[in-house]
Amino acid sequence: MKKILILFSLILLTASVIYIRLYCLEKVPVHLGNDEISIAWDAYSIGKTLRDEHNHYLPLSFQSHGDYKAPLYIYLSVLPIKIFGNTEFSARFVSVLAGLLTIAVTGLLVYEISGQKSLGFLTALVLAFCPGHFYASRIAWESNLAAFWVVLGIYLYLLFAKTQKSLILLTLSGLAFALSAYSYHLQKMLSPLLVFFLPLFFPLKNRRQKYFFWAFTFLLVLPLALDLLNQSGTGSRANTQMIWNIPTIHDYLASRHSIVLKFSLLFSTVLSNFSAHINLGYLFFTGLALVPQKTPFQFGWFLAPSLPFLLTGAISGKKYLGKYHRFLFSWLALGLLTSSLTRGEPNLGRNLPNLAPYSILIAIGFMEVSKNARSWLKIAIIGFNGFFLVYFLSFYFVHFPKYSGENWQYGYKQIALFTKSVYQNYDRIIIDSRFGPNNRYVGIPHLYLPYFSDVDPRIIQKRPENNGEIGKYSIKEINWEKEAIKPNRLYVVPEANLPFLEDKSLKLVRTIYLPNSKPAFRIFETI
Amino acid sequence: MKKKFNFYFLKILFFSALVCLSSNLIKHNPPLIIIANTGLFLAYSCLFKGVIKPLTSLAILVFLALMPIFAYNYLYFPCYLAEAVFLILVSILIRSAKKPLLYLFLFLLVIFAYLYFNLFANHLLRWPAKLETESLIYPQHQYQLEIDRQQKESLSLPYQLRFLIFNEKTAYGYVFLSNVFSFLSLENLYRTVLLGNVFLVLLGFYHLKKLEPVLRSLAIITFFICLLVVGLIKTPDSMRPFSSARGMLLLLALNGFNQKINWKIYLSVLGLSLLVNIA
Repeated sequence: MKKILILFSLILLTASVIYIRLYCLEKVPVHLGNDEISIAWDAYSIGKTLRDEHNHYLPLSFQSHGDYKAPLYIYLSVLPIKIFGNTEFSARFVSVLAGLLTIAVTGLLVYEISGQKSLGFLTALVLAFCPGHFYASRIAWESNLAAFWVVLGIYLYLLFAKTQKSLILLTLSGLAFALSAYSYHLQKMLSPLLVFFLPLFFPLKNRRQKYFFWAFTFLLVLPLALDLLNQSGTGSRANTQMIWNIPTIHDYLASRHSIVLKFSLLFSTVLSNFSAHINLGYLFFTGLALVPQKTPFQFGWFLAPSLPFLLTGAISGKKYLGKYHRFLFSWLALGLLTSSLTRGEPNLGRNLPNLAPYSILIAIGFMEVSKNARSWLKIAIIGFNGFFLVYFLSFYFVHFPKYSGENWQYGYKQIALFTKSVYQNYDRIIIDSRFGPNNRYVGIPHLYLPYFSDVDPRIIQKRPENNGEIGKYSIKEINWEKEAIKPNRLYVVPEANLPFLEDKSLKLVRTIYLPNSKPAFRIFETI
Repeated sequence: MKKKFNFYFLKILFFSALVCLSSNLIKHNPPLIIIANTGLFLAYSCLFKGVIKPLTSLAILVFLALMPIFAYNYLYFPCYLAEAVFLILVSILIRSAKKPLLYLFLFLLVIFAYLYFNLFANHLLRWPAKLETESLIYPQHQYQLEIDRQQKESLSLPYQLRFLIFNEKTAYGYVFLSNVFSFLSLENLYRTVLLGNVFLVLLGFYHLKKLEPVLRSLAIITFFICLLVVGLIKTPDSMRPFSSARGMLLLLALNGFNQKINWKIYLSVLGLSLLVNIA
């Protein structure tokens, strides 16, 4: 009876995790973001023509807007887009699937190294309900996919190291690490380090196997390494993100001859970044930036009440993981270190592979505390964490969309659907590329419009030859003083660039509202 | 033997004072501040010298004198007087451990004095006891607006529950905890005591049990008062909140050093820490 009850609750929890991760996927986040639409469009374009937005044939790194994207997520998204069509769901499908698989593999990994089913399940649960991971796996983020490959690579390697039998496991582990490098730029640093250190932590019986593992992985990532050396595509993108390319640091390094001074500056910058990455306030209270900064109710990457368990887990890790605990800390340290070498504040995307070791430590902390705690304390711990989880989920699904419309370029999908329905009625549809208060931001409507209106990718590939026009669509910054208003045109303008009120030649036909009910765009037709 | 030790200790104090003076000079502190900082370091060293075993390890004081916190300028001289009063009270308290009533009275007095001194050092109090509300997390108009907004808009929660979750107490409690844990960062610690000493301080905290009961209680209470004040400040400075606890940081570092620290590793990390501070 007890076994059936446990099995039933396991199935129920797993089902609820899957359900919550998929719930309203096309509505929260409220709109496809800048990076998401680039990925979605490229996947759609590759699926139709084998060429990306910029007309490159099956590229290894995808030219995007101001950066280059790693290729794997885009290639994997081709199939969901073919099956589910041009929707938010299909763009985010790979990420959500990778997120769910990461949870499962992390659970299996912990079971493998601790030998405790309960700890494995608890770790999976902690990761499943970790706000940072939940948030990241509902967005088309390449780093989420990379995190999955990293965890899988480690799991497969450990499986092989334990039995030393089936070489397929070692080969698959190398493949997983290589795929992680194809999934996200930062993994080009972390994955080789993990591949190098794994055999040192868990030696293989046969030295040849170790060399095979290194050589095989290296061979698979060779094209990326060549690309990195060429400083084109991914290479240039990766290089601009490193701390030594922050303008102030770059200038300082260029102007000083003393190696000591150069080293001290770089070391202190990395150390400062590293400190920011392990800041408990950031990890548990403010890191997620789900809501505006001045709001008191912020969220971290993990639920705030799980903070004491991280500390307990860090202290008692050895008791549960034995010889594996050193590797766990090294994995975390390497992940944090590679992330600390990049510019800017700690970034959830760059830290996704680190969420798994953090979750393992938190789960160990839970186990350790609950082992010695009385039943009322156990109930209190579960209740408090459960309460925060419900609070987070309600915040995520109810308030987050209201706060975040502009950040996610809300409105372009609605514009696309409307203009598609009236496309035949007008000679030209002119769209202002700016949005936000005082036209602060410049969007990429040239991707949103064709994606949601199923435009043939060849038209976008030839866009530079057509002066940036896409069929009847013309995207530009509208200056009403100079604009020659001709009949049979449709104007889509942001709220901060409305035409003059006395202008009688324009008639308002539609207003697009943000989720917080503020007007974002207005659509006018010429009379 | 005792005479020999005293001479050795005096030598250590002399070199520590030189190091402390130099680090104050490098920071371009005014002469009065340099004297005050060095004097306080020496006083704390004398007070806590008993913690170090064996006594030959007292040489660590020379390196601890490099802690940036002992070159900190409060920018308000009465703070030094307040710290001196606190230090005198602590030294009396340590000596009165065998007289329970006096001990209890003095203990409460020390806690009160430390709280007062801490608020003073963090610019939350003006002489004699005027609270600077502008520096506090409470009240903030923006927070109140957000609380009202959540109470109205959280339609997914039952009506009564909304007021239970979104109210001033939960909001400020959350901000308080967020402030405290954001402040307890590696960077704030190494900017205060140098990277090489962070490990000593943490180790000293972990082995608090090995300290005498008086010192242990003092270390814990000052730590919590320090965090209490940090949580209340709107934008905590990286070094100021620790400045009032510098005596206790020295005590923890000495306690940490007692736990079999390898001199070579310590000195190499200390060298690296100095490089960080140069940058």
